[in-house]
Amino acid sequence: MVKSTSFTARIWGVHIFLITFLFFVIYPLAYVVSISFRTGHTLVDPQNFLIPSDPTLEHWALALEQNYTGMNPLKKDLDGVDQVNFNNGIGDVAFNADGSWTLRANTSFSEEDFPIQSYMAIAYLNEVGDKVALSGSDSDGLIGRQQIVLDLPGQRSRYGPDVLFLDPAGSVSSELTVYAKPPGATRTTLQYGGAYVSKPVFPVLSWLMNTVKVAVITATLVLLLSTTSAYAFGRLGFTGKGPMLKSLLVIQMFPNTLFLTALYLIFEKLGSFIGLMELNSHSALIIGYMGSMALNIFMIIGYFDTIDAAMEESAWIDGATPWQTFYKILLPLSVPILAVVFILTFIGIVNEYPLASILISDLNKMTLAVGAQQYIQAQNALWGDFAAAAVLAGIPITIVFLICQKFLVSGLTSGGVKG
Amino acid sequence: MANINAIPMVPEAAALERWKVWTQYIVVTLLSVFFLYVTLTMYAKNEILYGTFVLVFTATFGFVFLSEKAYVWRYVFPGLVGVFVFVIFPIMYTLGLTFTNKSNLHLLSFAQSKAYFLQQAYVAEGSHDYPLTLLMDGDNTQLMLEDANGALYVSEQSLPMTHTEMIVVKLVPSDGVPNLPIAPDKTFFAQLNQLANIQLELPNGTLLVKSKIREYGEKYSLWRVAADDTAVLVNQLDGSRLRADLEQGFFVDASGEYVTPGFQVNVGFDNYKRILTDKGMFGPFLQIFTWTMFFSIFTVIATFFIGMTIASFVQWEPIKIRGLYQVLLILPYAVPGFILIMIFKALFNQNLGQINYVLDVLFNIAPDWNSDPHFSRLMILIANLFMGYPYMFILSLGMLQSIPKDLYEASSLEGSGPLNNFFRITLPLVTRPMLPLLIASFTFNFNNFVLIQLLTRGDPIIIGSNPQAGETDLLVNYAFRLAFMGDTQDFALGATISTFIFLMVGIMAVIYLKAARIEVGRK
Repeated sequence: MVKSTSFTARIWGVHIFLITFLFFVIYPLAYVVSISFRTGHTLVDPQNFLIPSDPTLEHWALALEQNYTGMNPLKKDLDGVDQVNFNNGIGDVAFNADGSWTLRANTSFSEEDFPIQSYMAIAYLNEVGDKVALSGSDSDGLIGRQQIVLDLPGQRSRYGPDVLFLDPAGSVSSELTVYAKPPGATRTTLQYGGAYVSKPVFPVLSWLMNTVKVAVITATLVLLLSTTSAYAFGRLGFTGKGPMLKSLLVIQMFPNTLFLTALYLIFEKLGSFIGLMELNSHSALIIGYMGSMALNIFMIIGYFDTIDAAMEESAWIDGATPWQTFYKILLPLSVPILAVVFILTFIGIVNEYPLASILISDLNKMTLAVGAQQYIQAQNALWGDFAAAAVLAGIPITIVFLICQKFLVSGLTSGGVKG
Repeated sequence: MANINAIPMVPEAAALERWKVWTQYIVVTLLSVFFLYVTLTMYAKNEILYGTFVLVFTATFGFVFLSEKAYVWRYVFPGLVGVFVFVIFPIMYTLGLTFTNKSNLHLLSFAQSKAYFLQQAYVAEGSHDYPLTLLMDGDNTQLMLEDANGALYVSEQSLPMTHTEMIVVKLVPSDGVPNLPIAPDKTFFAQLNQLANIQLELPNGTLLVKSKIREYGEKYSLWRVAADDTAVLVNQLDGSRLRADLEQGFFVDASGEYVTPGFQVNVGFDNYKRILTDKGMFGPFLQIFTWTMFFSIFTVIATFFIGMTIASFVQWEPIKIRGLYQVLLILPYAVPGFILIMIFKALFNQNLGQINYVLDVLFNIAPDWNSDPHFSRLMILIANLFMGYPYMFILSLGMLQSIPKDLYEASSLEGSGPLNNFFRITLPLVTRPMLPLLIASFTFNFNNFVLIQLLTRGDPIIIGSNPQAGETDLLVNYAFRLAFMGDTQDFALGATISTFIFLMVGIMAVIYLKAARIEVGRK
């Protein structure tokens, strides 16, 4: 068959359309990854669209509940002063106009934060504040940069001769050469690294654990209860079966957001009698999710319908009880749908926000969906930290979803809507 | 398929081994005893409604799991209980709330509110002060008092100090200071509220209440019930009177001022009337309803259209890397929603966001995504299209595969183009089986609480709304705002809005059942 030019053009058209569309789909996802590696909590990086111009692992360290030791580039003006005194984060610095300086360690860092880095250098600035390059300046425009490291006394041998070593009780002295201002420069400055240790504010790993725990237990219980119900509805006869199924179908359309107040008041009341249902406990949350299994029952019934009942009947004839036929014959044949129900419930619970937000108020007990919101307060939006926590939490869930994609699609077409 | 009704209903008892039967009896009995214990504690605390519920539950539970007649119900009982307790009962409870004035000003029942006043105490002038010392007993605290003669008293046992309601603690005489460390000053301040909620009873029966930060004094009740009228409280100090207003749910003093805490009363249809007639509510309510309808209908149609279009492209055979496209296109569906929504919040940030940065560079404009109602709504629609199209895409892929290929072959022989094919063959064939799913999607979006709550929290506020309502609130967010976000936490008003939504969802459910039956018939 000869392909006409219009046909080829059409194929290219489709490709271009899909790629353009995909750009808008992928960009927000890439964007959040990008923010997680940016210094500070900046949402716009004017120098770069996606790749951070000043990458840092700080947000990731905090998301993994590690302290992060970092350094801010700071400066002091040297023009017209005899001595400059300041604290650079690891100690008190006295810098004289002739270039000699002394640093006396003065820190409250704990041992696990070591080593902590700083540096001292000279730079000349023009009238708009940009560094003026000289023959001896490095790629950052600094001249005579001296590396300083603060570490325990026993670690001294780990550092080379070009690093100034400082132990927490000691002091260190050295000298920088201050030249005359080069042409174009208006200011002479001392450039130094302000050391700091940032500590994780939120227990992201606990949130992740909480989420996995609640989601796995809920998914298991929901699977158990909806499978047995589906067996009764699909295979056993009893009065009121039809209307009951129909009511379940209607009931599952009412999201729990509509009666959050009632749920809250019920848990508040019942929780004071039954420990498992106490407010602010994971067990209460799990129990609260037990009402949302109607849809699963339908999915499983639909699958049971595709399994020939002849095998079960022969088991009956051999004297098996209904439980034995269910457990030993029907269940092993239904593993695919059980996997679908389990994963869909798992993902649904991970995403669930309303009930978790009103039942859990203790920071350490929150699930990710609720906890992640803590980063973004009206006054103080920690976008960088949020992004790292979100990517950390999102990646495993996304991967599980993509791996099980083929299974899940069959489940979704039977009516589940994820939020 | 074989006749499943041929399966006998009741198992042969002989088939069950004896020890299994005994295990069953023991487990069921133990659980029943536990539930009965819960029932008793509920009755003891005067929670008749809940107590009765648990009692009925216990009886049903015992019957279902012990009687052979109820054998089949064992499979559905736990599921049905879950649905009943966490869906049906809360819905009924919500309906009940709409006829009350329950809010954080009216949380207590009349009896509890009255009891609150009767519990208030004052320390008589000239009465002796009892200095208080706190002793640390592990995590617990022991209280020690000294009377005028220097005799020491200690609390009967150490207290965990976790109580939130008034408790009475008995004191016993002590020969000397117990061998426990004395609590530092900060403990007094840390436990201020708990200490204020403790009344101490001396061995001779005198009740003491807290009078100063670290002193107790002899207690006299501030209020007593008037002899002539049980709805009136008389102040013992100055003789002023509080009258209970049983319509408003407040105690009212002589000047007509309401005194908190109020109590819960039945208000009939007042909440419904208020929403439909109050100027500060009806306007916003209509506006929010219209926006909710627009939002859900637009989302369903637009996501369906986008999903269907992309699916038609992706399943077109000459496109070689279909699998890769498919995975990438589903990606937004795989990422948790709460993350995606926050990404959009960041992208659309008015001053610092990437979108306004790009718009500013390209066109020199910076839309007010956060404070202009129209732009806020546009932002919500864009975010929801992004999050919603993959579902429709997945559904459409499945549907498209079920359309026989020869239809397209026939139409291409007649010289029909791809657009014509899409509108004349694909859409009509796909729309009908998709109908129930579209209705489900409509209902889901009608109640898409999380999107709004995380993206805008319903803001900006509608000018002139009282209580506050948001321009981007969906009905369900409006209900949540009334119940949880306002100063008054008006649970009853929130529940009334929820009732309107119940009605709406109910109608959709009926349509859904009808549509779903059509589909079942087609199979």
